[in-house]
Parts: sequence; C-alpha cells; structure tokens
Amino acid sequence: MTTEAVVATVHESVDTRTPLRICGNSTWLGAGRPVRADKTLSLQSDSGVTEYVPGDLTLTARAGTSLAEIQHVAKGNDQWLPLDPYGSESGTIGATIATASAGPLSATFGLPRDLLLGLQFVNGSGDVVRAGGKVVKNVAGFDLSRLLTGSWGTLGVITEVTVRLYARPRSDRTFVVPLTGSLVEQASVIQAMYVALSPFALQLLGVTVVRALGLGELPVALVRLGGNEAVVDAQLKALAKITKPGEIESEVWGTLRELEGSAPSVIRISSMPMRMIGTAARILAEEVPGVYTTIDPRRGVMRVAAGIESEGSEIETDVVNFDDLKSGEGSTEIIFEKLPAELWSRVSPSVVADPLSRGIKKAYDPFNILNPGILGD
Amino acid sequence: MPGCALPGTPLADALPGINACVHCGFCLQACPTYLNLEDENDSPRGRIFLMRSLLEGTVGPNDPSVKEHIDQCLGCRACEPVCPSGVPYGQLLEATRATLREHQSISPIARLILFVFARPWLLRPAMFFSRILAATPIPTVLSGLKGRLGFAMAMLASTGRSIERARYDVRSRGERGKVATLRGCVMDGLFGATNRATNRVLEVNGYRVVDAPGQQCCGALHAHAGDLENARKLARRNIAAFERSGAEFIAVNAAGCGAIMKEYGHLLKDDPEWRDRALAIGSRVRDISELLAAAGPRVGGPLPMRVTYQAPCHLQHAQRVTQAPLTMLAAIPGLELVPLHDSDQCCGSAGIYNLIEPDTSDAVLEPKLANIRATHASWVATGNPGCLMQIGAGLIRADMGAKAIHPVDLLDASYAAYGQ
Amino acid sequence: MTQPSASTQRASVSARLADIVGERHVLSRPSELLVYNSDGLPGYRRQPSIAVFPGSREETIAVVRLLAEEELPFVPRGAGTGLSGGALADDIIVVGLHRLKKILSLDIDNRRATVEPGVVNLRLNRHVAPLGLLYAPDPSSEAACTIGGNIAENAGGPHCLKYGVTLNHVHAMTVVLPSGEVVELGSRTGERDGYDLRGAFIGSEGCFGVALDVTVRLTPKPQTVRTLLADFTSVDDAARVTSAIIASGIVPAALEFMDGPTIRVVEDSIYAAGYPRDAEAVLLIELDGIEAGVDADLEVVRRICLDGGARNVKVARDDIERAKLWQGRKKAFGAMGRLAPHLIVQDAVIPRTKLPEILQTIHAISEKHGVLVCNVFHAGDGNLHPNIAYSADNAEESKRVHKAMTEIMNACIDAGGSITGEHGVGLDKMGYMESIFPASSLNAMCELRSVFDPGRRSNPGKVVPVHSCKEWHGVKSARETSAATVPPPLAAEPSRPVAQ
Repeated sequence: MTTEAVVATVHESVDTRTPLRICGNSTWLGAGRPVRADKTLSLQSDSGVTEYVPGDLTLTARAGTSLAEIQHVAKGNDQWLPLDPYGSESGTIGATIATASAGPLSATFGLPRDLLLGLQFVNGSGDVVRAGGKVVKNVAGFDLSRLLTGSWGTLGVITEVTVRLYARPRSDRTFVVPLTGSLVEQASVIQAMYVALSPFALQLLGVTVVRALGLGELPVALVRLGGNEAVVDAQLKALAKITKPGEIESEVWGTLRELEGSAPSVIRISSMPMRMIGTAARILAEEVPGVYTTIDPRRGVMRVAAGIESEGSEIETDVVNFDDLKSGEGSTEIIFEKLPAELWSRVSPSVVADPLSRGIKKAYDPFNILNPGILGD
Repeated sequence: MPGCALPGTPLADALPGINACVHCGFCLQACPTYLNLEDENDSPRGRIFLMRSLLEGTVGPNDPSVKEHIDQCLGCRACEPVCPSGVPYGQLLEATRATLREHQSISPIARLILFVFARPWLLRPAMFFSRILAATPIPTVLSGLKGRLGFAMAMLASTGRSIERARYDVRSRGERGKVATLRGCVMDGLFGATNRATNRVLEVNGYRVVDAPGQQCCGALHAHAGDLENARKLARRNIAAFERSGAEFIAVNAAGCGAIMKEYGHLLKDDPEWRDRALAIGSRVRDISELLAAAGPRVGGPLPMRVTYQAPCHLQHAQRVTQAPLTMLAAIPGLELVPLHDSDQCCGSAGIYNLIEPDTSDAVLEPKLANIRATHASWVATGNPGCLMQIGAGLIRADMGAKAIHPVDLLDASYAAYGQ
Repeated sequence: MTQPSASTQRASVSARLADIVGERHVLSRPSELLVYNSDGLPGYRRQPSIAVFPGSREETIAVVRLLAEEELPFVPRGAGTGLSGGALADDIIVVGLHRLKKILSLDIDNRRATVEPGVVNLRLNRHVAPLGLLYAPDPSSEAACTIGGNIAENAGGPHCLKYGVTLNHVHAMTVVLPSGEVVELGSRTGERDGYDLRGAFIGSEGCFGVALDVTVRLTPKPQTVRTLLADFTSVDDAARVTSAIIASGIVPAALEFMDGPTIRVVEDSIYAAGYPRDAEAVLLIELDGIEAGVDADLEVVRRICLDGGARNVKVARDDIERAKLWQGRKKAFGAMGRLAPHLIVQDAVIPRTKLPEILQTIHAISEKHGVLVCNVFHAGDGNLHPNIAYSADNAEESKRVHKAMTEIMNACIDAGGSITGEHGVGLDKMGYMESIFPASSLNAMCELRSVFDPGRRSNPGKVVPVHSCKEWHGVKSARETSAATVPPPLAAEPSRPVAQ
C-alpha cells in the first residue's frame, strides 16, 4: 500500500459511493464503533520508518508502522517515542494519531497531538494533503495536523506521520505505593505525590487491577521515575518522605496497558486534577468484579474498563458512583472509548454534531465515505 | 527619497532619535497614558509614529489630533528605560512641542504659567500670595469644589501639611565638599521648609552649603512645553550663577528640575558659546538623595511611622536614580517602609499637566491613590514638588488620612528627634 | 436611490460602533489611524478605515455582530507586536482587543487561569509568580504582547524548547466567530472527544474569529534554574555544540544563540549583559528542574561546550545575573534599531542537525550581497532569526538586502525547514507558502478557514494566498481588493524621510 494506492481506493469509492472503513492493525475494531462501511481500507502493509535523523530527534514513518517497530528503530540510537496508549504495541502510529490514544506517559510527555510534528493524509476527495512539517517548531499555515489528530479517520486517511523523539532516560525505575489508611489519609498521600514529584508516570490503580497485576489486595499508586540518576534519586527521596515505595519491574506498565484487552466497555472520565484527587481514594476502594479502574491524577483522567471477566455483559452504568464527580461546581467530561456495538447510539451522542465540525467534515469528506458514523452523525 | 515636510525645525533635527524606534511596542505597558486612555495614539510608539508622520508630511502640524495626543503625554519618560533601542523620547517630545508651537497655540493656562515662571518679578509675588493662601483655611474649604479650581486649592492645601519637628543646630565641617542648592520656584515658594531642611541634612552629612545668588527657574516647565527659547534663556542664567558659586555639587531636591539641569548640555548643544559650560554644570548636578546616599547617610533618631515611597518619574526614569531615596529612608530607625504597587508609574502630576489636561491626570492618579490606600501608610514620600502636590491633593480630595511628604523632611525630622 | 458614498457609509458605521463602545473608542480620522497602520514589522503599512476598541466581552460580540450584519471585513488586533504584518488592515476595520485585560479567574490547585484576550503575557506571569506558578510561553515581546495575540500566532519563545508553544498550554477558549455566533472550543474541565477545534483555532492568525476568553495551563515553577553563557570564537563551533547538546538527549529549558554582530549591538545598548564583545558567538543555555538533576546535566553541558571549543563557560551566580543575561537576549531585536534605521527579521526553522551548514550558507549569502546579518535565535529548536539592519532610503542597498533574505529563506526551505516557527505567515511570508506546501494543502487550509469564516471577512488576505483556494474562485467577497493581492515576499519598505 502506498499513498498512490490510497488515493486510487478513495477515488474509486467516490465514484461508486462506497464508504470505507479505515484500519491500521484493526485494533480499534474492538471498540465497537458504529461505522457504516462496505469496504475496508487497510494501511497495515503501508509500514516502515521512512526518515529518521537521530541528531534531530525526529522520525517519519508510514501510517501502518507499529509502535513496536518505531520503538525498536529508535532504541538503536538510545531514543524513544514516549507514547504508550492502552492496548498493545502492535497498534499502528497512524491509528494512534487518528484516535488520539494516550497512556500513562502523556501527563509528562504530552498527548499524541503534542508529539506530532506533521503528517500526510488523503482526504475524502482523494487529494494528498501535507500538514505541518518535519521540524520541531512550525506555525506555517493553519494547523491541519491537530485537526486530523483524534478525528478517527473521518477527515482523511493518514498515510504518513512525523513525530518528535526523546533520548531514553539513563535511569527509569518504577515503584509501587500501597494506599492504606483512611480515605482522607490516602487522599493526602496522593496529593503530596501530585505536588512534590515530577514523575514520568503516576497512575492510581483500583483493587481489581492490582489483583490482576499480582500486586496485592489494596489500591496502589504506580510511580515511574525517570531522568538522569541524580533526578531519580532525588525524587525517590522525596517519595520516601511521603510514603513507603517498593520497587518493581518496569514491565508492569506494558502489562497494565494490555490488561483491559478484551473489555467490551471503556469509559474515560476527566475532570479537574484536584477534583479527581479528592475522590480518587473512594473510587479506588470500590471493588466491582470485572471493572478495572485507573486514575491519572495529573491529567485528571479516570479510565473505567468494564465487563472483563464476565464476557458479553453489558455495561452497567451504576457500577461506579460518578455522582461525586458530576455534582457540585465544575463539571466532568465523559468519553466513551469502547462500547458494545448496540450501545453506541444510546449512550454516546454524536461528538461532531456542532456546525463547525459538520462544516469541516463536509469540506474534507464531501461524499461521506471515510469511516461514516464513527463519531456519530 | 521623499523630502522632509518640516525642514529646519527642532523635530527635523531629532530624526535620528525617531529612526531608532523599531516599533517593537515594548514601551506600551510602561506608558501611563496608554494604560489609561487605551489608544496607541497616546503611547510612546504612537506618538513617535505621529512625529515621523509630521516629518513625512502625512499629517500636518495643524492637525488637531496630533496636538491632542502630543499634549496628552505626561513627559514622565517611563518609556525610556524599557526601550531596547534607546530612543531619547523626552528629547523627541520637547522637539515636537517646540515645532508645534509655531503652528498651534498652547492653552491659556499653560501660557500664563510659563509666562509667570520665566519672570522672577511676577513669580515671587505669585508664590507669596499662594503661600499666604495656603496658610489660611481657605484652600482646605475650597478643595472640595468640583473641577480644576477645587483641585488647585487642594494642591495648595497639601503644601501646608508637613511633619512637625523640633529645631536643631548643625555645624558642618564640610569634608564632603561645597554644595550649592537649587532653590527652585515651587520649592522656594511653597516648600520653603523643605528647602531649609535640605540645607540642614546636607550639613549633618558633612557637606558645606553655599549660596548661588542669581539662580532662577530651571526651565524644565518651558522645555517640556516646547518653549525651548525661554528654557535656554533660564538655563544660561543658572549656569552663570552656579559657576560663580564655585560649588563642587549642585544639589536639587525637585526631581523635575534636576533632570533638566543634568541635560543642560543637550538643551544648549547648538550654542557654541554655552555648550561646554552647560555640560560642565550638568555634570555637577545631583539629586539630593544621591548626595545623601553617598554620605551614608547618618542615622537619625527614631520615627515610628508607616511610610510608602512613590518614585518621581523624573528621578527614576529621567535621572535613573532608584536606590538612593530608599537608602535615605533606611537611615531612619523605626520607619516602616511599605512597598507601593506600581510605584514606578506616574502619578499624573507631570509639571503643569494636571492643570491643563485634568481628565487624563485624574485617570492616572486614580489607580495611584488606590495603591496607596492598600499600603495603609500614613505618609507618602516622594521627592518632587509636582508629585507632592498632585498626590497631596488627591489624598485630601479622597479624604484619605495619609499625607505626602518629601523624603528630606522625614530625614530632617529624624535628625531633629535625635537631637532631643 | 444612489449608492451611499464610501465616506457616508464609513461615518454611519463609525456612529453605530460608537453606540456600542462609546465615542472615545472609535477612531475614524485618518491622522489618528496612522499609528494602526503597522505592527512590529513596520516595513509593511496598511491604513485601516476605522479602528474600534471594545471594552467588554459583550461589546466585542456586539461589534462583531454589527460587522457581520453589514458584511464588513475586519482585522482583530492585540498589542500590535507581531512580526509578520499579520494585524494590518487595508482600508478595513481594526478591532483592537487590548482593552479586554481582565484576569477572570485563577485556579491555583488545578493550575489554570482564565483571562481576557488583551491580558499582557508578562502581566499574567507577574500575577501568578507569587503563587509559585508560571505561564510557560515567553515570546521575546512578553512585556507587551497579549494572550489573544499569542493564540493567534501560536507564539513560542526561548523556553518553548522544553515547555512547548502556546498550543500546548491552552485548555479552552470562548470565541466569537465572524458570523457573530459564540462558541466554546476545547474544554475547561477535562478532555473532550471530537475534532480538535481548539487546536485548529490556535495559530489561525485572526482568520477564524475573535477569542473572548482563554483558559490557559499554568506550570509550577521549577525548583532550580541554572543559566550558562558559553562563548566561542567561531560560529561553526557554537553551531556544532548546539547540535551536540540536543543529540545528547538533555532537554535544556532554553538554548539560545547570538552571533558576534548581535553581541556587540546588545553590549552597546542599555541591556548590556556582559557578553564578551570579542566573541563570534555565545550560547545562552538554561537548565531547570530538580536541583540534583540539573547540576548533573549542567556538568554534561559544560563539558560538551568546552570540548566543542568554547572559550569560557560562565554560570549565572544569582537571579540578578541570570536576569541580566536574559535581558540582553530578549531585547536584542529592539537593540538592532541602533545599527541602522530599518530592519528585516525572519523566522525560518531548520532541522537542528543542519545548523552548522545553514549558518555557513547564511554567511556566504551575506558576503555575496555585502549585507550585515545578525543572527539571534532559538538554536535548540532550530528556529533561526536572521536580522538585517539597513537603510531603506538607499534603494540599491534595499535591493541587495531583500535579495539576500530571499536566498536565506530558500536555503532554509531547501534544508527541509519551515518558513516560520513562531511569527506567523501574515502578509510577510505568504509568498513562500507555495514553496513549502502543495496546492492541495493550501486548499485544505482554505477550506478549513471557510468553515470558520465563510465570508472570509476576518483578517482577509493573510496566511494563504487567495489564488490557492479552489472554492474561492468566483465567490463574491465583501472586499475583493483586500484579499486579492498577494505581496511578493519581503516587499520593499516605504522609505522614511531624512532631515534636510
């Protein structure tokens, strides 16, 4: 698959008015999103790193390149792409950008939109559009890169992506902190970590997740400290002042990302960091079989993966009490990442129904052939 | 290459200064009139643009909006320290006003004031009546009136509100050198006590004070208003008087006067006979705070009071003297110095500006009073008669308990307390 | 009935605008509009027809709605410190947002602030500094530029090397679209699904509407800051050291480059920072973060500098010394006013590994054309700012200068770079857009703009050359003239008068 082949496929679809389902490694299909398509356009074979200048810390890859391959190439120069979306490393860079998927590292290194320097896409009329560039700072023209990020393939088929890399930290260690004591005590430990540390990642894990990871029977905080040795040592000292951390293998992060695997429902709830910290202890203590809860306090995001052990079960919206988050001043945003197919239309209204989004969709995909319906109508 | 629309004018001479402006806009936030009037025509960058346009001929010297915006400039020169390309804004403003004077009349009040200040035989009686007036309750009663008359009366009333202090004797050995003081018109007329205090504190700190008879108004008000002719006339007389005094330093307790006297060299740069003499005198001029700070100054008796300090523009921006007045106040035991928010912003006095552009002046004064209120200070120290009267009047009219005072008076009171 | 004349129409619009904002805040006399005919790049001048300065959110909405009703084009303007001619209005209306200068709310715990668009960048920073927070984007014009203008240009600054540009620090905005409709972009309380309209709006150079309020992210102040000055006798050495530091993986908070001519201009100015006058280049390097880690990195950086040929590496002892080193850098652009009456400044970005060869190329171009190029730039991101000081009154010199700058820009484009890293395209760089983007990209940009502003009335004639827009051919515009002409890159400046 090449850009030309994508163009040809899009042209053909325009001529025959055949909507396309756009896939990388097809990982997201499990999200159950309601795409009305008769044909699949897979970019899986369009893979490979096309340009990598280690001294510039920039890398360009075809959309079908897996995250694992990018990490492998970068590792040769002691560099990495600090992008760790939930799911497996076999997911493609194109899909990661298209779905704006992010993981525990994002509170420090940024969301996909922050690591993206430029991209190439084919719009719904078959035009090849280049956005952004290959340099780390660029304000030339309107920002189409950001527009395409998280657009779930509805505005264009991403064919190539340029991202910024970082040097691998000299030290990268992970610690587990059990959350014990009263809810108030737990909240104060969480807040102290929020204020005192600058970790690579900080995740709070509910009991079900902890058990699945074999880390015990209590909610825990998972802390990833990275940088030069002096930074890690200083942070570890600061952490030890707050609580008693125990070191574990960094592989736990990969396991955590893949844990929710076949869960039919994943919801992301976001709010102000302090609000999340205030309610975190209560939410994490809530032990619901088949429901995995993780919280990133710095990003103010909670992930709830439901229905893991009882396959085929429908999401029960009352499994976690969201009232704490929804009530009072300041509101909450809820994003449905994954749902059983039949629930989409019921729980998630269209997220692109506003006039501006509709206008953009119409301009970039006038025949509505790119992933129609995936974000609602 | 287009020609110059106003050849041979002071503005045309100032072109290199105008050309130094790269239009970066760093001056905007330093400018009190821009912050209050919110129009770039009332900013340094805007006014320089108008000056340039005058030379280009895109606006004429009779254009009413040019006059309005140039008139509205306080001349506080707060834009100068923040200008990376070193535009000599104060000089450009004077050149512009001088050029426009040939085409546009200045306001009757301004003309009257400048006329009086240039003539000692008129100035002395005027100040005499002002002083008598200030000593009666009339100004205080009238200060509540609306409009300019009320404000002018409040200014007068404020001059009668200094600090009480005992008399003390001082005899100086004069080891720090011979100093002639500028009496100054307003200082001499309305702040005589401060002038006497100035002499005393100089002597306490080892300076020998000598007289410089023949001195007159410094010419600052005239130069700011573009009346360069009279400003130069006055400057020449002062240069001669201070040369005769044989003093090593010329002490000035009015920041506005000190600023122009330090720049006599520029004022008379085209006068071959006087240029070098002007430069020589200018280099001997010191603000009173500079001389005192150089001497320590000596620590006095305790004055347990809460004081805040407002930096006069012509001390801070024009003379770039910032630390010396604080050093002076630090020599007073028990005095609690509370920082004033935005103390580097103009109070709106600006020479005679508060009498001829009252609305803008009030707009600039308002936030200043609010900031003073927030300090809960009972005294506002500032070393310039215009600022003393502007702030003093504002405090009276706003019915605030605080009073404005010259830092010299505070130091003098401290020395008096020491003597007891 | 005859058509009302242009001046009658102008008078009636002025009167209606004055009803909204008050007479004092509408300018229509040509002599008062002069100062609004340029921004921070006075080489371009365009005279607006009217300038209006709303004083509140409601007034701003009312103004934009009136202009929508009358189908009048307009240009939003902040403090006019931009360096691309982006805020110029060619015989159309300027809407100045500088009076909207309130900090609306501050949430210390959640580290965010909501401000009006006219709030000056440095004022926001002064406001939050006592709380141990900072607003990271710090363009060199921070003392004057507004947050609204920063949004329009997606402004950067020296510290965006580590902290990112405006885009990375804005959560949400309320925007009045050119149609008068008010929309929320982004989310103040969390993360939102759907198209990133917030991301699309940031950097849209005033073409998508007017921001009414902006919720920004605040960053905790770093525990420790260390500022180093490394001086070199060779530009090439300094360039190689820059690449070596980046390649080492250390991410400095800032990595700034000044060449010999710049050093000497700065040292002549009131911001003399103590840079060695005989150096051919200095690097100003800042490291921040946790003290122990910073000190470890500092040793690595110092070693790279010394091994790479630095004569001397000086570390600022305290905040005063640090501030002084930075003043020199931040005011360098203004200080160039001392060299010659006119200045061209560019903003190209190149891959960082190409720095040594591009600086050599720039040197060769400047020799060839006999011009003096001052290079002062964000070396860490490869964001070059070649400045040429000259006299526009000398036609022959102007020609050489413009020719040299065009060659420099083309060399940067050929190196795989971009034409602007932080100043925006505006009028100045529009002529280069076709050299870095294919027609399809430019058309896609036009289409995006048309969604936000179908009548293309907001800042017409900027960013994307109008002939690149397929759909705009044949569309009737409110003002053909303002959008129709694309100036050639680096159009010659109008000359200034000289004393006689």
